[in-house]
Amino acid sequence: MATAVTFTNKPEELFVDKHVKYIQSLDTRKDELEYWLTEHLRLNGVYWGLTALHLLGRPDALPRDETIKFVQSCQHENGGFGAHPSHDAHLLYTLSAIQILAMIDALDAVDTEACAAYVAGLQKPSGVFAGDEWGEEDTRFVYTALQTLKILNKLDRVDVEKAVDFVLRCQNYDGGFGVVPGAESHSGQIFTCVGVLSMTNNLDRMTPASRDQLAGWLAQRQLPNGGLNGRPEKLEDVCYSWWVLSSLAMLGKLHWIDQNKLVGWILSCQDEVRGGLADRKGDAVDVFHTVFGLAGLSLVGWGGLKEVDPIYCMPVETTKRLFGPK
Amino acid sequence: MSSHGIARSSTTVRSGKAREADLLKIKEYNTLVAEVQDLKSSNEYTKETLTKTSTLLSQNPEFNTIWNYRRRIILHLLSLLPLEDEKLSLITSELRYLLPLLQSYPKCYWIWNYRIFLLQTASAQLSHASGLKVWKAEMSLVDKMLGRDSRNFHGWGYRRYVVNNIEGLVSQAQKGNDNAKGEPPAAAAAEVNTSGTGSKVVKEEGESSMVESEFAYTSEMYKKSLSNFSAWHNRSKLISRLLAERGASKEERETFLDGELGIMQEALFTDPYDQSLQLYNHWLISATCSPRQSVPESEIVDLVPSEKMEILVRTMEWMKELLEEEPECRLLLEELIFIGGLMRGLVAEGGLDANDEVVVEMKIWLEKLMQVDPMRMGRWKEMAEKL
Repeated sequence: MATAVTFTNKPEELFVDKHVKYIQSLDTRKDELEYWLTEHLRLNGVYWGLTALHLLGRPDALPRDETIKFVQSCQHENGGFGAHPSHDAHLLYTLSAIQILAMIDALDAVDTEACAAYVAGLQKPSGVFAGDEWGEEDTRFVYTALQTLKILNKLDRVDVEKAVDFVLRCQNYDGGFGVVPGAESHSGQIFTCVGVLSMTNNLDRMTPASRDQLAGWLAQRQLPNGGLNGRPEKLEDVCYSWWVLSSLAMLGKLHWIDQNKLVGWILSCQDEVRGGLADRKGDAVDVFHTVFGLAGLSLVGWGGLKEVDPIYCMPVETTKRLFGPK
Repeated sequence: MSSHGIARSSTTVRSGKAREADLLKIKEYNTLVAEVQDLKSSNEYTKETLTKTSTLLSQNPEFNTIWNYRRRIILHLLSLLPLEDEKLSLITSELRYLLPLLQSYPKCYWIWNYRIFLLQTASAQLSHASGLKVWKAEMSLVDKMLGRDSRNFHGWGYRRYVVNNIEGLVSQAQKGNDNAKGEPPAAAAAEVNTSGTGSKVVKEEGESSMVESEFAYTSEMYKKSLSNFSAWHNRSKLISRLLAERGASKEERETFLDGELGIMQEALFTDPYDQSLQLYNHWLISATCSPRQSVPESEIVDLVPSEKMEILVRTMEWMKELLEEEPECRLLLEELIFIGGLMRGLVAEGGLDANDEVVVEMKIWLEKLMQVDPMRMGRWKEMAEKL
C-alpha cells in the first residue's frame, strides 16, 4: 500500500512569510477596482485567507475580534449569511461563515439555531439543497449544507439519508459525480460528493469497483508536468490540487499519483516576489488558489505545513476539536 | 479574488496617473452600487430601477445580490401587466438582454441561474403555448454557446435542463393537463393519434421525446472533435432511453452496440491517447460485457457469457494490433488489462474455458505500464498484487 514519499523540493522553497504578508494585504487593497468588484466573495475570501494562515502556522495573522465582528455583520434575520453585510444570504457564504468561526473557536458569536433553520429550510423533497431562496440545485449545496450542520452539531435537522441518496444518483459510469443526476463528472463536484459520503460515513455506499474506478479517473487527472486538471482533456490548475487530491485522500488513494511531481508543480505557481499562488505558473495570484495550493501541499505532508482535513478543508486541529479524533 | 488564466503583471507599483484613473473608476462604481443598494432597500421595483441594475450588472455580472433584486423587479413588473403579450414581451426582452453578457461571461453561474429563473417564470405565468415557445427558442442559444466552446460545463447542463423541460411541457399538453389557465387543452386532438400506435406520440407540437434529436446532436459534436468528452458523456446518458423508445429488439441492440464499438475502434486508431474515447469505450465494454454479478442489467443489451466473451476477444485483438503501433500508450495498456480482467471474471462465473495466456499477457502489459507511466506507480503496484 502507501509508502512514504520522498520529496525533492526543500521546505524553504515555500515562501511562507511572503504568503502571510500577501494574505494580510488583501483587505488593504481598497484602491484597486478588483477589491470592489469581488465584494460578493468577501466572506469566502476571509475563509480562504484564514485557512491558508492556519496551514502556514500563523493563525493569529488576522485580527480575531474584527473577523468575528465582520462575520456577525453578514448574518441575516433568516439565519443565513451573505458575502458582505449588504449581500443576500446563500449557502456558499453560510458555510464560510461557520468555518471561519469554527477555526477561531467563536461559534457562539452568532445565532447558530437560526443558521441551522436557514440551512434546513433549503432541503428539497429529492434530498438536494437549493443554494438560496431562488432555488438553484447543485451537489455543491448538499456539501455546504451538511458541513455547516455537522459543525453546528445539528445534522438531525435535515434528512441526511435522502441527501446521500441524491448524491449517489449523481455518480456517472466513469466513477465521478456531476452537478445533478445526468451531469458530466467534474473534480470540484467529486470533492463535494465524496465529501458528503465521507462526513456521513457513507463511503461504502459506493461499490469497491466504483471507488477504484473513481480513484483511477482522479489519478488520470495528473498531467506530465505534475499538475492536475479537472476533467479529461483540460488544462491543469492549482485549485484541482485540492479537489482531486482531497478526493483521492478520502478514498485512501493519494499514492496513486506522483506527489513529488505535484509538489514541484504547485511550488512553481508561487509569486516569489509578492507572495500568493496562481492557477498556473506566471499567472496573477489570488487567495482562492493560494489556499488550495497550500492545502494540496499540506495534504501530501510536505514542508512543515499544518495538517489539513481532506473532508472539511480546515486544519485537522479544528476538526479534531469539533468532531474528536478519527 | 479567484481568477483563471490572467497573466501576472511585471510591475508592483502603478504610475501615479494609473492610480488616479483607478480611483476615479472605483468612485463611479461605488456610487452606482450605493444607488442601486438604496433602491433595493426601499423596495423600488420600476422600469428605471431595472435599467439601473442593467448598468451595474454589465459592469459586474458576479454581483448575485443584484440579480436577486432584478428578479423581484421583474416579478413585480409582470404582476402589473394584464395581457399575455405584454408579459411575453417583457420576458423575451430580459432573455435578449442576457445574450451579450453570456457571451462575455460564459462561465458565470449567476447569469445562467437568472436565465433559468426567467424560463421558469415563463412557464408559471404564460399560457402553455407561449411558455413552450420561449423554452424551445432556447435551443438555438445552447447550440450557439456550445458552438463557441464545445466543452462549456454550463452549456451542456443547461442543454439537458432545457430539453427536460421542453419534453415535460409537450407531454403535459399531450396528457391534456393544461386546463389550469382555462385554455382549451391542445392535447385533446392529439390523443386520437396516439391510440393504436402505443410507442409513438405525434401531434402539432411535435413528439414529446427529444431523445433521437439529442442523440443525433452528440454525433454531430463528436464528429467535429473526437475528444469532446462532454458529447460522449451525454451520448452515454441517452442510449438507454433511445433504445427503449425505439422498442429495440435484442438483435437491434446488438447491432447498435456493434456500431458504437466500431466508431470507437476507428477513432482510437486515429488517437489512442485520447482519454475521452478511452472512457466511452470503457463504458460500452463494461456496461455490456461485465460478469453478471457486477452489472445485473445492461442499459444497452443483455448478453449471455459466450456473446460477452466474443466481444472481449474481438476488442482485445484490435487493441493488441494497435499496441504494436503504439507500444508506449498507457491508456491502451490499462484497457487491455481491464478487458483481460473481465475475461477472467466470465471464466470464473463458469461455463467458459479458461485462457491462461491472458494472465501471462496481463502481467506483461502491467510491467510495461509501470515503465511508461511511473507517475501512477502506486496504482499499478496495487494492481500487480491483485494479479
